[in-house]
Amino acid sequence: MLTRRIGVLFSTTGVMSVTETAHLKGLMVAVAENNSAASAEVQLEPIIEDPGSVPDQYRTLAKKMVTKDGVAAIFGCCTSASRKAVLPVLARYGSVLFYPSVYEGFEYSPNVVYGGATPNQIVLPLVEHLLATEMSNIYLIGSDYVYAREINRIVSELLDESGGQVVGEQYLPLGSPPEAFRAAARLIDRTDPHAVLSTVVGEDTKLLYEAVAERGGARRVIASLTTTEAELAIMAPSARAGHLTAACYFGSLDTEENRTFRSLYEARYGHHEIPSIYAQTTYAQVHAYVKATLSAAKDDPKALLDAVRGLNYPAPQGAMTVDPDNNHVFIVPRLGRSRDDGGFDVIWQGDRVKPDPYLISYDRDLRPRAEH
Amino acid sequence: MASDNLSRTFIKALRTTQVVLLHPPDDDGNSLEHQLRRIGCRVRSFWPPPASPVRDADVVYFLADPEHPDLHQPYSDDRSAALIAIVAFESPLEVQAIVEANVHGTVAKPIQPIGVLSCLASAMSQHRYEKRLSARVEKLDELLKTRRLVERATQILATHRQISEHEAAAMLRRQAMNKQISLYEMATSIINADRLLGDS
Repeated sequence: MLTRRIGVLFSTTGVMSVTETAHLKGLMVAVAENNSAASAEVQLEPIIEDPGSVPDQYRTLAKKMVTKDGVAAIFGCCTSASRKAVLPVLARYGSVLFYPSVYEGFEYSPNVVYGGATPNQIVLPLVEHLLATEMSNIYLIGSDYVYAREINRIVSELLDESGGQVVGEQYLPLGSPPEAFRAAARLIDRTDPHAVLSTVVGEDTKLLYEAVAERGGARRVIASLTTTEAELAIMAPSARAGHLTAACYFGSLDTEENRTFRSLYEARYGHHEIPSIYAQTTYAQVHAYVKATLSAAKDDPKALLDAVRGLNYPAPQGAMTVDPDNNHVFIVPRLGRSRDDGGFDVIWQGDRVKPDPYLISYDRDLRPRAEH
Repeated sequence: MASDNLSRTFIKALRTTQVVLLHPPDDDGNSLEHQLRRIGCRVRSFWPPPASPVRDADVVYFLADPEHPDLHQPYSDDRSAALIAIVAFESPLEVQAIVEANVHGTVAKPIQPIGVLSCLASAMSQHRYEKRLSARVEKLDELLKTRRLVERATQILATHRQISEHEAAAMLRRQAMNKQISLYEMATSIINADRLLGDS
């Protein structure tokens, strides 16, 4: 039987620990499922390190994994800063990064397999939905780094060309104190937008939602791309319900693959936890890796990359295809409305969308056709 | 052409940017062509290079190596497109060739997807700036030429009419206005007339 070492580079400490612990959990479920299956053709041996949410540490540890541990593929990174930190290592040694996160696009590295959505796949449906439900005055709030700024640039452009309006724009440093979010919530109330679009990530999400809930009155809707079951789980239950998230996966999806995934996940981590897109994507990417490894001609990163290009693989979110043009995946966009039990109701589902990381082919006017 | 769109954002303008690629369709050529398409450019590849230069390009990428020293020639002379050299050698002769082609940017082999977009952005903005500057130089040249002719014509008028140069200059402007012709044309016709009379 084949044995393959894989590098695992997710932070279980530091500001990204909530999100990246979820990535790690999904990966561990997939590794255990693979290794214990009677039909397993390859045993996976994960080399797990904690970069502590520090981009330089991701680079140092990635290099160690590639040069000392002899791994061809690393599963890791969530923020763009950490991914960019690892890219030179990949380029130098030809290794492969399975990157599981949604990000702002405008990148193509032949060494990265991008498992999350690009802005065209989920930002567009979210803004379309906001406009269609007459939420055209939007307050943008984000964690202060490239993801939020780039997503907001795209959102502003879309709103601008569709008759919507950005009524406020604000960035908070990662790891800001609760008081900063309370001040933001007050400011939001003063500008009185139809909805808040949040690109706040990680643990800070909890603080934003709680600060908005503390204001009382009719709940102001927060629309997000990165608030998942993992973030809802750590916030006060009273702050959870009624918000929108655009994503390609929600724990509540009723597919056979998702039922399998959820039962494995719950068996490992307990019934109180609903797996999020973070866990789902690493879970699916491990299966993609196994499938590609078995069909690869040789045991080297180049052969692995060749096998990944155009690969079809099953995932809890549905059947996946890696676009051979750009190493990103085709996905089905969905909108979820959060519940106070920490789950989401899927309120809308679209057709499969081709990844378009450089946003070359979308219509920027998103008003319903009749209004054009 | 993209130049009409450049007041809009650069990223949007990319979707109408016409790129001509003069490079063999090997690994480097293909990888550059794919990345250009990925970022939204319209790409036409030629190899061997076309007999007559392509005239509707916004950007021309050309292979710069010792075996093909002149690919850029038709484009570097006319300057209507941004020029980007694809280089594999950094030997002194090759570097000299790039200097002489007066390119707006270079990409190095082996081609890496990252860097293509920022090189294109800087080359296109440099080219735009160069175009603005040369338009300005052309205009200034015209102005300077007119001024020299006007001075000459003013002197002729002042001599013939026995008036001050100041009055002669005012007369020149008035006549040009009455005849609805440019100062340049007015001055030229006075100088020509003077030459004719002087010759007789």
